[in-house]
Amino acid sequence: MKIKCAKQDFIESLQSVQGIVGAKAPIQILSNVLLEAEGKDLLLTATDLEVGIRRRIPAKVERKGAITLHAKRLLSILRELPVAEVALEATDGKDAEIRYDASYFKMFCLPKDDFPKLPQFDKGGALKLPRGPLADLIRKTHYAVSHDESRYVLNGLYLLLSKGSARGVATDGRRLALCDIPADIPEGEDRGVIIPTKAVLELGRILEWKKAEEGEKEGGDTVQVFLGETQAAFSLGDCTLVTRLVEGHFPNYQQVIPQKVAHKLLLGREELLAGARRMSLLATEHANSIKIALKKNRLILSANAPGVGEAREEMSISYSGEELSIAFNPQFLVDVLRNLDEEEVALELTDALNPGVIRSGKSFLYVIMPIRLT
Amino acid sequence: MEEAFLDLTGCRSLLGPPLSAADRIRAEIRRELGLDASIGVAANKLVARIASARAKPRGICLVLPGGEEAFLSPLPVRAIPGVGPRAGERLRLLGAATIGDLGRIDARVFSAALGPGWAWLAVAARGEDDDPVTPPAAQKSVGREVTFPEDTLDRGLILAELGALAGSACRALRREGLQARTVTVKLRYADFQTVTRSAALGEPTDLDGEVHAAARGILEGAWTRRLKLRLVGVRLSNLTGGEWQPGLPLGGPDRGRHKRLCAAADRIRERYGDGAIERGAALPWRNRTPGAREGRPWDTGFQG
Repeated sequence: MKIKCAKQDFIESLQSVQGIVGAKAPIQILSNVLLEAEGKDLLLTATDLEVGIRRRIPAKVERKGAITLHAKRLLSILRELPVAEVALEATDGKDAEIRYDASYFKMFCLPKDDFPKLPQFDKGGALKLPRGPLADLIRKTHYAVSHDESRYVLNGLYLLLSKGSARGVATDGRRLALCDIPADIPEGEDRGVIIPTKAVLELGRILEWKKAEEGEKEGGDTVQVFLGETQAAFSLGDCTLVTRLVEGHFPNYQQVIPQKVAHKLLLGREELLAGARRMSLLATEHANSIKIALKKNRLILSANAPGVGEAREEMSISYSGEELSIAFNPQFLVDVLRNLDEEEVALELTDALNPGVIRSGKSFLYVIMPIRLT
Repeated sequence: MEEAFLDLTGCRSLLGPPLSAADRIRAEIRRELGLDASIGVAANKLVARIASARAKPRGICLVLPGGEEAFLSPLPVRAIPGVGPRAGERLRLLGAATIGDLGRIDARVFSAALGPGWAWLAVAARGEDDDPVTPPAAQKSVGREVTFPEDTLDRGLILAELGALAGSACRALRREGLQARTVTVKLRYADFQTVTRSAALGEPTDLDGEVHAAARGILEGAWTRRLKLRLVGVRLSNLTGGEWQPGLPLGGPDRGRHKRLCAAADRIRERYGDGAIERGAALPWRNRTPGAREGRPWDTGFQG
């Protein structure tokens, strides 16, 4: 294999795939990135056996071939190279040489045949999701996924595709975030899959970062989704993410969405977020709650941590219902409020024991279980 | 037997002279709890404790300041808290049968004969003690452990015991309104090698099932030698109280129900005794380790 390509392209694409490469990969080759030169492209692939990312960048291919190199080390070397174009050559598949001026780096390779093969998907079976809305869906829900491995079906985003729309649901069992986006899903393609957290985060990153790059190009704003039985792939422009799906049934999330609420109020999102952030400054391991009290035309946020201090803030609101006091984990409030865009959110409460709901527009809903103070 | 210290300094105008205050305390314990209490009144904790022991079963013993030496002198050396049968025997060989005899021995001899750290005995023999009366420290951990009647490889039995210990420790937490963030499991092999392992819980808990599951996971990881176990223990630490985060009704483990279940079981045990309700998993082993069900407090050297 012998190629030349722009250093900046190489660095950026390597950065985008190396999020997958673990610091402590269980198998040596998983610390490596697969480099394949073919046609006019260089393909970079990294995987941790659960999630894989493949990127394609333009390159001058003088001799095609494939090698694997230690991803992090290669990236550090590229960053320090004093040239704009990288020349990389591997003759016998054992070493790769990076030449610049009269100098070189020689890096040890592992054979490409040892590198795990990413699954292939039938290009014809792709569903199409709009990039921007899918990025929003991930941003508005990803933080609610569970990291508790004992309930592994919650360790990911539930993506539900049905005619004309896509829905994302994430929950850690204490709060639940749900977001709907319009999508061109044909009838009969209904499907619900659980995408592991790592893949969700990587996909979110790819979509955000592709925003500027691909937004203008035709077709650059559509994500092609391939769903297999146990695996799925998301493809956007020159980048493809392949992931294993979480097996099992996502719980019936509908039943946690309160059907009736007693009190509903509209609040400024930024104002509530700033207040919740300030109250959370007092949070300790032992007192990690923020109290919301509703009084006539007033909303009072307060926090009290024994041995630390207390804080109280008032917001003017339009409210004439009965007085109510409820406590939440401040992080649960901050998480949702900072990931929304709208100026106003609707806060729906019933009493101190029943879940509260935050709505933003018609497409977003967040259910949050209150903390009980004993 | 429970004991408690009360510092009466400056309380004369409030409670009267020490002797009548002691009499009132004794009468109130009798009336409220139906129990006999003995009381020792003295200028420091050490002498008060010895005096209280002399006043058993229901007397009051007053040692006036300055009278300590005369009070202690005729008493056997074993009357000093901390002097057990072995130390008592060593002291007898040194010619000290009574506390008065100790005063005639050079303090350095105690360290030489009984080991380093025994120099305090000379001070105690004079009836001196400057340890202040302080409120008990906030509880830092709750531990339970059990020694099997016979060393065992029986996983079922070991897990059942672990469950019972977890339940007992959780009950102690619930009584205090506390929850734990850390679970520690101790196991001792037949050859007395002892292993302790801890794990942090995602969420503070006082629920039997959650602690049992965590303890079980720790035990599986810690029990690496193919050797019988003679002891297992569970300790809950990193305690917190006051707040509780219930879960959404997602059909998974419902913490609200779990909490109500534990509370109901607590009420049953309160009324009908500890053995009145148990987890089904423990039943096959129920009669094999009589009396071990509750476990005993995790012994010293491990109070975090």
